[in-house]
Amino acid sequence: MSTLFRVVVAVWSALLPSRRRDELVGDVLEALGHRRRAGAAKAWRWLAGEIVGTPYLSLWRRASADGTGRARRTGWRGAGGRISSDLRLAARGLLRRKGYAGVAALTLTLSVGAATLIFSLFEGVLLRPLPYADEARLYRVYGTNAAWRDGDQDFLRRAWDHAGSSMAMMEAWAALPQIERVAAFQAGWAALEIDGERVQIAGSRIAGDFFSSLEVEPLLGRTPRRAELDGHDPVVLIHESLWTERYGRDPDIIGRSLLVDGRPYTIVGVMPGAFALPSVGQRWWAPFTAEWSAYDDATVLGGLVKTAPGADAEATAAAMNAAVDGLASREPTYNVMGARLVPLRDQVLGNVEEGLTLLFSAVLVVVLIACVNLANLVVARGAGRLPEIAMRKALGAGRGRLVATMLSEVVLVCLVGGGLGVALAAFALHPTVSLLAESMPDFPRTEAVALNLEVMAFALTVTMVTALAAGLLPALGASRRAPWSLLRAGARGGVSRRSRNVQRGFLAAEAGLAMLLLAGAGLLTRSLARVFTLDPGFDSRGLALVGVSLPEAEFASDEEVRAAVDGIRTRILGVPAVTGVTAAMSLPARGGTTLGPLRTATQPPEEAVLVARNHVEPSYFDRLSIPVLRGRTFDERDDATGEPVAVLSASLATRLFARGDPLGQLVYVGSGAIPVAGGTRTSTETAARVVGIVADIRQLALVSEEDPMVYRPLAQAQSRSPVFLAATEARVSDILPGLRAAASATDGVVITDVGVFRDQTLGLLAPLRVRTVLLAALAALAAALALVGVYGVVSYVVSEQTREIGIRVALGSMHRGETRRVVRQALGPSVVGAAFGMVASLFASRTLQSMMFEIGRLDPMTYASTFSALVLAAGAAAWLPARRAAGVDPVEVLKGD
Amino acid sequence: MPGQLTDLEQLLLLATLRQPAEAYGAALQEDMEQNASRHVSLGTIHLTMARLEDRGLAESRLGEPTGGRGGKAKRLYAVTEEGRRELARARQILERMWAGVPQEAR
Repeated sequence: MSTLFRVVVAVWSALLPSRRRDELVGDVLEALGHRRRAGAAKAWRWLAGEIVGTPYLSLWRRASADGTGRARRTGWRGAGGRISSDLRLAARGLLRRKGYAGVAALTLTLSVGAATLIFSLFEGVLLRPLPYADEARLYRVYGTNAAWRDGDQDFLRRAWDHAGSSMAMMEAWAALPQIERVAAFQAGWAALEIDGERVQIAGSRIAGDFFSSLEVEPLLGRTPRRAELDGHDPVVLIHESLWTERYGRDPDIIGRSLLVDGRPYTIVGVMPGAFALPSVGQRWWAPFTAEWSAYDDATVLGGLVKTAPGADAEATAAAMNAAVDGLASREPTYNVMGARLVPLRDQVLGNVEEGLTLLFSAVLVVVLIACVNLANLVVARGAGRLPEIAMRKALGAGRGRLVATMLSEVVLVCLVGGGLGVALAAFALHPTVSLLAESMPDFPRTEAVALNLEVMAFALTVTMVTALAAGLLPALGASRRAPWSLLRAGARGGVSRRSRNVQRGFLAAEAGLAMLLLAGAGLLTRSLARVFTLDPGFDSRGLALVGVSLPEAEFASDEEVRAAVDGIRTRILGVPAVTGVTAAMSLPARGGTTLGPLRTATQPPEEAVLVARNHVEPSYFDRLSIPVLRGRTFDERDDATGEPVAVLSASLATRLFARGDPLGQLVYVGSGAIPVAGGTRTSTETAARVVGIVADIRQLALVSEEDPMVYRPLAQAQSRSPVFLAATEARVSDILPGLRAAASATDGVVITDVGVFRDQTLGLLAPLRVRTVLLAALAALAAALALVGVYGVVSYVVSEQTREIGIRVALGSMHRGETRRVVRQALGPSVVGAAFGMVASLFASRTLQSMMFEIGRLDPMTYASTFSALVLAAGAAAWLPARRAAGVDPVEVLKGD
Repeated sequence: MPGQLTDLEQLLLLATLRQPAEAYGAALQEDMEQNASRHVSLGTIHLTMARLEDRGLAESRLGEPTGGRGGKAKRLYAVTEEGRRELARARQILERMWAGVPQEAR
């Protein structure tokens, strides 16, 4: 961070006159040091204010005066005047050469636009501090269990929303000196009744110091008082989005009553939009009610701790683990349990950090290409101005004056292009952010993304650095040469060998950088295509789903739940065009899968393996086309009164029963979220007889592995939130209204979800897709810029070599041969550059590894195809202007001499 | 007489006089922000002080480089005798004007 500040200040200082520059820069650095203590965001805002608020022209005008400081006498004849006259001259020159100005400005517009857009995401989401107090001391607590084997740990990491703390653990931790605050929470859903309508809305139960450790001021009202945290006076806080959508931002909301799962709660506060814990999308928070004390020893709670100032994270985790071991006397499982601390920042941003950093690096490559492109144009343009420069030099213009004259043109083009680029970014920002928020609902902090002063300062810095980098070298080069050599070069209408070599280097660099991005985008695209076509083990086509929730308040007994489920099933079958229906506790590749322990009769409880669990109706396997490998699936025998039965997935059956036949064996299916040991909790285990084995499917996510699974009949383990799947031959979306009506016909049923099953399974791929699309767009932009570069250089070479080509044609060379020669000259460096770029991308692909599925990072197809595509396109870009060489009339050319 | 002092010039001269230790850019900016509720960029501060120097109302010298400034020296400002006189004159003008305002309008 501090380096970035220094870089920005250093670039900015280049805009200042040398007089008083040092003391001014010193003051800025010193003040920046003070401001940073109040947070990086404030410091950036302040720095942006300084950059915008500096009176550059007046400072330069003064500086141009002599040492005695009589500034006003020199007036507009000073540096300010010189600059403005240079700019006027530059503007006139640019208007005369619209092609050059247009290409240069367009290059800048596209690259600065893309860079500004991506940086605004990068800044708003990653650079800005979280809205929580002392974020460096806040940690999410994850449960560990020494009894789990490595395979289980991996499995858990792939499963979402894993919690592992109990109330007893929280209390033990609160007593530790390393810990300042402890909070517990459980994210879930509840039916909120607003304006007579019941809606299932995501929210969290909280306990302990949840709000007091985060210290976020409510927008309205207050956070729960200590007495209310016990849950005796039920209170609820709602999120700003809920307040806006459902209450029209009613300022009198505080004190109103809200029915949560049928019980009245008092609304005491509205939390601001940026408050997104435990995860994005939580829209209400209520303290655990009295009956939640049943969770004393159930390790199903999420934990949040704030360490004491100066406490070391590792030491804290060790102390927390020791405290958990101390609880073993009340519950033996605590022996194997522990805690792992994950910094809250990593927890919040971990999913997107990698992707955003990748995009930001990619956009910097685009800017680099733009820079090279521009330098190329400037070299070409500079060559055209050689006679003018020579004349100025001969007339006694100083070197600084010459450089300033040449630079002013570049700077002007860059400022125009950069300005348009920012406008482009402003235009694209809103659609991009809503695309992100829509396709990835858990994308954090989209509300913090804006074209603010920091982003503007970044755009200005990129523009100015590009201008200086592209313009300074050629300008310095030309100003160093003696006037006679400049004049000679200019008059001959040729380019020196040196500048031609420089141009070749530019072409190679552009091709290499473009290749780098193209290869990366190619890898991600191919990997995405593979994911779309891979076989998840089930068939999701022709299926619509409707998820419901049957609250305990309305459906108290299992019989009532069963009757409601039967009623809904019958009505769904009556919906026109529906050909079949099935129900399950959860559906694959769509989220919400429950994990639990499972063991055989010969395994002690602490050796249970962690598996994904689903309760399904008999027709489930048929509907989803999951092949039955051995034995049978469920039928009418397996009702509530029948013997408990289970069906295992193939990989799980092999793992559990390496020797012997699984069919007919007993398995113990635990209902807790983690394995329980020690025999004190056998009541949560169900002994079920294995009756069949089905093929593996990807249950947790399409891009994960094939998961170990146990299926139980829904009739034997009724779920209060079943999902119905309706099959149809018609268009799936056409039957959705009918499904909704069928499900809501029973009083008290809350609909949690209605949709096309296939869309939802593919929806989980959204992060992958969005990242791929954005990277591909940047790669396309990079390639386009590189091709513009090739086109520009070849056009220039052709126009400068008209004389040479004319002479060659006059001496008997064929026109077609000339065209080929020019193309070859341009293509050589591109091929060499692309080859270097390919080697570089072989190394860089390592960073993409974790985002790729089903193909290797060294996939030869991708590299071969992007390489040949780039070279072919470069050939085409060179051939277009080179055709003009064929039109050269030797007579005209030589007459001109 | 070299023209009347602007509002900003008056505030900056006063801030210079007020500094208990060294009067340099960053210190003046902080004082202006905290006590005059005015945010002025450091560039503007140095420019204005330089103009006051041109008019003989302020003077400056380079101090020693200190830490936290990237090794850059401070420019230390002071108000000249002429500067103090100008400030006093500006104050008199204000007081004269206030004296004419009827009590109930104050």
